[in-house]
Amino acid sequence: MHILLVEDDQQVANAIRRGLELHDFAVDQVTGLAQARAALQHFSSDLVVLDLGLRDGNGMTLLAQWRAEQQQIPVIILTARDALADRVAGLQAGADDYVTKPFELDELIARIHALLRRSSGRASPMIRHGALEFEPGLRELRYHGEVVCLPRRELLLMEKFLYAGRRVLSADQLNDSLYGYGEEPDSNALNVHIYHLRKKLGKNVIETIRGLGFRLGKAE
Amino acid sequence: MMKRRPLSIQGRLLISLLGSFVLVWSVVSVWLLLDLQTQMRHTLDQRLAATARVVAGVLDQLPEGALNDSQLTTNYLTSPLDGVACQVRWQSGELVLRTADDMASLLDTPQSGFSQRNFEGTQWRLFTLEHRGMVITTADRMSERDALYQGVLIVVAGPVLIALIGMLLATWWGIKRGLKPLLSMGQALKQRRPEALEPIQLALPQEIEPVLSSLNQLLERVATLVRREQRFTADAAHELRTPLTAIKTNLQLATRLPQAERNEVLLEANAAVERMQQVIDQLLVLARLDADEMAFNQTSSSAGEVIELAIADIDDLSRLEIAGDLSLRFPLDSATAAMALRNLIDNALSYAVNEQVSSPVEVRAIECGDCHCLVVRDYGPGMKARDMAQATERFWRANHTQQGSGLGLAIVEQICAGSNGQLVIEAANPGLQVRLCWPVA
Repeated sequence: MHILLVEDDQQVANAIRRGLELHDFAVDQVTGLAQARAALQHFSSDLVVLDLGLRDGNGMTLLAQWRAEQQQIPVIILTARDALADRVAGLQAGADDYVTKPFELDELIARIHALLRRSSGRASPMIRHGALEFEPGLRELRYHGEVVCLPRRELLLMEKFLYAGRRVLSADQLNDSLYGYGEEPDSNALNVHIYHLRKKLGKNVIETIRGLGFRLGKAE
Repeated sequence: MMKRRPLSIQGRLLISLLGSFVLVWSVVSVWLLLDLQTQMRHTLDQRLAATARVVAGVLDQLPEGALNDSQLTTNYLTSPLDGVACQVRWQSGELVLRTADDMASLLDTPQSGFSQRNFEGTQWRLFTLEHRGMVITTADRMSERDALYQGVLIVVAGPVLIALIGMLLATWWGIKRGLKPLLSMGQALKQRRPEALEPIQLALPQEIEPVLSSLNQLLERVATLVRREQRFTADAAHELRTPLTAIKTNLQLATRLPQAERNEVLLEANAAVERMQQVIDQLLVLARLDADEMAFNQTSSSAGEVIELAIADIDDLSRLEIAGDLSLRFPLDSATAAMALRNLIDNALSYAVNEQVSSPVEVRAIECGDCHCLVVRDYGPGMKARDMAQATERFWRANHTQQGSGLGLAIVEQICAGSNGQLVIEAANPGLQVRLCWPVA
């Protein structure tokens, strides 16, 4: 899953990016409001981690703008402002969660998983599709009850497919969920990953929709 | 010991005004009564004397020898008058007339003029006139006089008492009404939340209007201070939490990353620790400068010492150009002056890198007008006029991607303020020039 990190302090941003990547998220980091606005149009992010005191303004204004434009993406505010008034204002401006710095990495990851779960409309942390079972927090994929060991990128790809259900995903969307900042995808890499997944989980696990992209198959 | 609460203004006014009214009115009344008594006594005495003279006049009108009529000596006035009496005798002692038979003991053998006698248990006033061989004595009973006096008193005292009571009531009402604005101001103050700092809106008479307006000014100043303090606290929290977040997150990463990658995040954590230390150090410097503002104003130092100290810890001196009169003296100790100068040099070195790789930074000690100045000039991108005005605010940073706490110029300004100096930031085109000026003593 792809996370857009809006954070202007490079030391903090580096640490958060590393932490998120360690937990199998693809991360892109931007430092200002304008960049964040542009990034959300460019990438198909699944979640935004938003700092408030940015050098070109307050993250809250950006959030309010997004919500006014019916932008549904889940947003976690991650800020040093811990006053009650700030937390209330943040949530009222449309944030889905509010985490204060310094934070526990595990808690942030858990909150991100919870938000992704809620935004995909599920109640349980376990994603089930046909014979596939996946728990994002545990990073464990089961096929017919058997744990399947997949390389990181292939697992990321399956995660993206499983979150999307049977929606069609474009190659760009899939690439964004695989590659964050500084990772240039090979033009053919996506097809290679899908080829490997089909080999391990059966031919029908991923369907190719010509001209549009891919979607999850029946996986029986 | 609890201090006794002073009496309320209303109480004070009531007690002092009503007290003095009662006192003045009592003195006046006593004076009036005494005067009235004297006057009445005088008037009644005059009447007593006039009666005696009237009797004398009437006797004069009688034909010669009429009074020698022996028949008359037994003739008393038929209906004795109550409270008054009269007697006429020849000087030889023979009685001519008496109002009542049984009053001989009262009216006999008086001394001439006014006198007083006790008769049958009551006091009488007598007047005796000697006229053509006759002794005429008139008398009236003192209790009649007293009754009259009391009657007059009652007639006079009623209106006076009513006036006094009326006046007391009017005073009480007037005081209450007069103090109403004060009371309403007190009420307004009492009803405020203690933390409320907005001005009090009340229509008040001109006497206490200044009190309210200076109170409102004070409130406004306090509100500004509180806002500044809150912003400072929020900024300080932010500046401390940010590196703390980097430290904490990197340390958490270190426990999860493989051995090979661990070193890198520990170095990151270390960098964040250093940054945090810098913020804390600078906050402490500021706190110290706040606490003993003038303490460093008692010594002086030379430009040479100050510059030497300021550049002592700078690793790369190749971009620095030092010039000017190094013997100029500044009215503060060299360590503090060097701290200010060092902050300016650090700013110049870090902000003026974009233009040219090796753009120089000039440090000069010069005399301008009646000031001794330390000047730091760079050839970097300079500063916008709006930024120059804000630059000395605590935690203000020109560029958030730059390292630094945003306290450097605040410290420099604090040093200048404490040592009677001046911090001048001006565009140098190209670049920026910052001057630290102290007036020559």
